[in-house]
Amino acid sequence: MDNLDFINSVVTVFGIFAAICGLVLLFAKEPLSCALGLLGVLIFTAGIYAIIGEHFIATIQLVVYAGAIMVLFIFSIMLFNVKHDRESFNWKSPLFLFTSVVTAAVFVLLGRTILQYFDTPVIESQKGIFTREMVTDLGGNSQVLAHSLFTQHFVSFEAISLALLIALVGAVVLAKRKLN
Amino acid sequence: MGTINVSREYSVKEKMFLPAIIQGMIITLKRFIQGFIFHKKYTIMYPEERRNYSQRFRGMHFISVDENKVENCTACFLCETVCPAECIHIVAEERDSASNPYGVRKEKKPLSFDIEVLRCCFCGFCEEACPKDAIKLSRNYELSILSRQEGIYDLNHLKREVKGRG
Amino acid sequence: MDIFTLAQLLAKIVFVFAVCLGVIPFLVWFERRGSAWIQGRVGPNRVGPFGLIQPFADVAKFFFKEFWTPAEANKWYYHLAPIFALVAPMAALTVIPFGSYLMIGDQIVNLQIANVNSGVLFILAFAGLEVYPIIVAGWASNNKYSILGALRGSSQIISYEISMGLALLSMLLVYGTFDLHSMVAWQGQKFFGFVPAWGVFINPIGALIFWISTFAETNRLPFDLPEGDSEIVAGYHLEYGAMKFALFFMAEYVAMIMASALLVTLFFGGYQLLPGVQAAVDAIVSMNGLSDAAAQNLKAVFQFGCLFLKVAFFMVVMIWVRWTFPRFRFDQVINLGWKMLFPLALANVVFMSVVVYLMS
Repeated sequence: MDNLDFINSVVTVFGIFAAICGLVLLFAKEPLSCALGLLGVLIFTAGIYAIIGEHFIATIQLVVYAGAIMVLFIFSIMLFNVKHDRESFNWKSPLFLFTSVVTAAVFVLLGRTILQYFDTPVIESQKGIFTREMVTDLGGNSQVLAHSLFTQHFVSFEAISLALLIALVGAVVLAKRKLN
Repeated sequence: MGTINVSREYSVKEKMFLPAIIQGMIITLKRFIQGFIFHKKYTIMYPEERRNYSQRFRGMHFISVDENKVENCTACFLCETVCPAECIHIVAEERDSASNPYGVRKEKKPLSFDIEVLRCCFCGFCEEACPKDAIKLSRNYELSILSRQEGIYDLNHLKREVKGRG
Repeated sequence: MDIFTLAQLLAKIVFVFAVCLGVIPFLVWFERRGSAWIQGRVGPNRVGPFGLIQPFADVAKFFFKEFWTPAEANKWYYHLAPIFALVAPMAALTVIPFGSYLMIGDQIVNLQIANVNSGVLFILAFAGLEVYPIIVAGWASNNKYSILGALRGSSQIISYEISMGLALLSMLLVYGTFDLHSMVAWQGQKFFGFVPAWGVFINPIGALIFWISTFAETNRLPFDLPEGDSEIVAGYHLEYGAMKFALFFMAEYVAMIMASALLVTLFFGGYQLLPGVQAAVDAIVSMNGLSDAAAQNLKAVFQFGCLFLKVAFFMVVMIWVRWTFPRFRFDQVINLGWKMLFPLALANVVFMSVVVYLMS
């Protein structure tokens, strides 16, 4: 099926672009460049989701992460000029050395796992009760997701929204106290 | 301190904003119809139509000439003296008395008569000071030039033919 | 993907973008002539009949201007921003249906470029991305006015996106689908046999909030604070000249077309025929004795015409509003967004859900 080849090649191209944006995120000097690198990663992963047919995840990724959260990031970066943070950064602090070793270890483990399962066909690694045909029958991704959110996972959904509300109120309270 | 707050409470109707917005839209719609259908305009289509300024408008300078195309100026330096912007520069010269048909009336003449129009403030004092009614300001207001050099009016330029007051 | 699918897809893409970009010169012309008529002026009337060729002359001028980059600008992002500005609204246009379907042979051609099953969210996603060109352009220009414009633009767009999303949510409750085609089909019903079931008749407050938000989202007056000529010169595109500025300029119009098309699709019946047009279509069909397929094609053409008329109407209103109102102050914009539209939209969602619950 040449359609699958096409999808594979597009996923590869998007993946390469996402990786480049990730490198920009890691190594760029300007804070805003880092933020835009992260934005690039988000957009290209959304592109990957879209090309493999998961439109809902792709659009949600764009709406929530790219459209809202990253805007807030960039907004605050622009508002507080964070140039001096870079200069005062200590490359030899024990904390930095510790975190860099731990991150490197996690990265190596992750890479090993990915390489190990790289050749495993998609069908075998697929878990969960829904197949693509079932989702289409039930009226598309968004409907299935909404249905399970508001029936099966209703309590956890509400609990998370409550937690977010508490976080919001807490942020406002903290900010208020600082002002006084 | 020192500021007086003159703002007032808005009424409910004003707080709704929408009635005022619709009112404003209707006004511009009326104007639109006037412009679109009845071609009402305040624009003067400049190169074709020209604004008619007052007869006393002070525009580009000229020096009046007599019937022999000889300038009326006798280089008396009154205009150069009175000019507040000091933009008139005259070099005087005597006419050859043997071949001078005017005799005592025009003994002197300007060898050169330059007006730096970029410095001129178009006050018209030169015109008032001139005893011979030689230097005058025409009604020509199209003074655009392409170089600084053109901003110095020499005698040749000033002696050009001006009908009426231009 | 066979040849026919590919060909019809390409044809639709070319058609939509050609129409969208093709009307921009006339919109610019109308913006200038219309403002002139409102203000008792004449407007551009020298190039071509009624000055219609003026926008093309402008484009020619833009092309021949110096391609200039400020020395202190961040070159890469500086050049990226105008491209992004045009791409984001154009991408959102792909999911707007511009007719029901065509019959070519025995194949059905859906008149919508991308049939994404969460179409509305797709549009919201790309509407959200419209902030980035403003931020990136403002930041990369390395100019204080540009940064101010970018900050204003981003905070304004974030604020109004919320009320826009909530207004949209209230309509989603009514339609019960994310698919724009089904939404338009839903609006094809009739109340009492003659009133078209357009979203605006069901949810007028939502329509109003959505409409106001589109003004803020597209940075049109009275919400053009990111540009704010009298305060921050030209805001985020201050340092842009030649074709790069023209791209921003075109992007503004594409975003206007996109926003109007979305407004029409959600609240004003989309491509549904205007009252009375159905009779005309029937008359033509019965007069010429057309087959079913030909009748459907004819209807689709008329549907596109109706969508075009509706969108054109809202574009004209946008231009009309621009030349009527002065710019808001920044605190007024934010107050309107957060203290009026947001609670109103929230209350409207609750109200609409009660209505929908009672009706079903």
